[in-house]
Amino acid sequence: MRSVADVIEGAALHDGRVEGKEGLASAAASLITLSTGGSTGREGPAVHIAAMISSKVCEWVNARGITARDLLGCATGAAVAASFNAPIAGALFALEVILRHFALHAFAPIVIASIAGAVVHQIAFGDQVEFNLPLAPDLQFYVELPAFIGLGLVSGVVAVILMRSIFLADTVASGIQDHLTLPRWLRPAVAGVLLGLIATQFPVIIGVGYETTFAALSGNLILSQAILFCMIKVVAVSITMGGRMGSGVFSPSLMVGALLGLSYGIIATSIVPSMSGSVSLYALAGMAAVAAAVLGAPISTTLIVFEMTGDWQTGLAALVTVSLATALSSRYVDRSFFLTQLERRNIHVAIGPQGYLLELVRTDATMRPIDEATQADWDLVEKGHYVSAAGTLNTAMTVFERTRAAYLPVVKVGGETASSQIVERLHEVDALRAYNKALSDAAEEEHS
Amino acid sequence: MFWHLGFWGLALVIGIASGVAAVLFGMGIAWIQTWAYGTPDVNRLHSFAETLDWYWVVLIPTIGGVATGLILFNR
Repeated sequence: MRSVADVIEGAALHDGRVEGKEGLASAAASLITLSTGGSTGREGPAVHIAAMISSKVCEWVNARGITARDLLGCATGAAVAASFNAPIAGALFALEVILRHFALHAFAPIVIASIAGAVVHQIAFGDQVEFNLPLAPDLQFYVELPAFIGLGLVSGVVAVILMRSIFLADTVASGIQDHLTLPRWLRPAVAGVLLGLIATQFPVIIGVGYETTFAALSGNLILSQAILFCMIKVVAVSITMGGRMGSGVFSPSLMVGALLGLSYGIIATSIVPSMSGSVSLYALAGMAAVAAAVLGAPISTTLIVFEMTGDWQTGLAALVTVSLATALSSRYVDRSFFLTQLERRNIHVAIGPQGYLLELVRTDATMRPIDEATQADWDLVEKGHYVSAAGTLNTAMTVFERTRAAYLPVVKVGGETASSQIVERLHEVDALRAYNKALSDAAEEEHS
Repeated sequence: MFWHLGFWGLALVIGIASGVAAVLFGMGIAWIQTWAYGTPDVNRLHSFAETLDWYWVVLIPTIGGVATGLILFNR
């Protein structure tokens, strides 16, 4: 199932490209899941579809490196901008979530693409906001500040619960599937039955859930409903994701956050009614906070709320909750939902370029040819101190760390007929030089 | 210079194409939802689903799940 995590991986490791064939299948699957009662989001698949478009274009014009990654940013920014009619948020989403830097060379093209995306939305639907709030939320902001700080922390905790339960559902479902040796295609079907059974009691879990999100933002739910729907939605999202039915986590985290914020707001405003604004404001701030924590996208999520409501005061309230929620939740997962997903697949991009660049340089790009292997080389091979030509510098560096050798023989492992032979040597200084160059290129890309 | 112009052009074209794709994706969901649940307004889907017979509410995601499984894992 391809989604935003794969786009982040493509930006970091695959020259700004994502895979097309699997991506198309995922898009079709997401389309069916979301329209037949799956309880996930539609923005993640849209972002991946956009990434497939930019990958195709990059192939046609043979764009690589920075150019290809910037174009990937353009595509993903435009997809978010077109989904929410929010060009500012779209552009910043591409920077903070996909490219994970704010370099100048990327900014202008991504903004152009995001505006184009928003224009497409406006041509299709008119210039309306996704959530048309009945009235501007009334803010007593400065006296209410402590309440919003509290909401930020609660949102961070709920975001962690949401993410953890999705991963737990995935682990448990895989365990059950292995235990019963179910065919893989049956897993989404079982999830579908479970979702259908829940939906008979709680139809709010059907689809992306914007009707209920909107009801929460308008304050049209009572406290018990809001709390119950919030919990049920977490369960439904976990089943959908654990059942590998796929799609995004953006809309569900918006819905969970709005319901949480409404619950919190109803309670908080009932404690101190004289100094309290409308509960809608809490719902909006909670929505931004949970989504920001799940996506690892504090800036773009705050801006989405601002662009949806067009109200600065609301944006300010969102900023407070968002900052605290992300600060809290990022400590309990690998920074965000997407990066944790990649960590679970053993793809370590969360910590940044210094962590994955070595994996991108192959041993045979840095090794030195030798005339003939000496006895000393063979002694090293005896002791296990060698690397293979097809490997990457990541493995080589761990061998260097372990052995403290100045060079390692590069062994071409023979098959059943041929014997193994030493073809070249890999010097630590060359490996370090290559690593240094990769690091400096990355730093340049992020600061130019 | 021409390469630079080309790059800005590509950014714009990719932006338009991605925007169209995202909008079509959303419309596609709404269109299939209307067809599958028979709701007149997808923005009122939650209220509408309450009025459906329970077996439809179970059957639709089940069929959706089977279809998803076949698309993703049966190739």
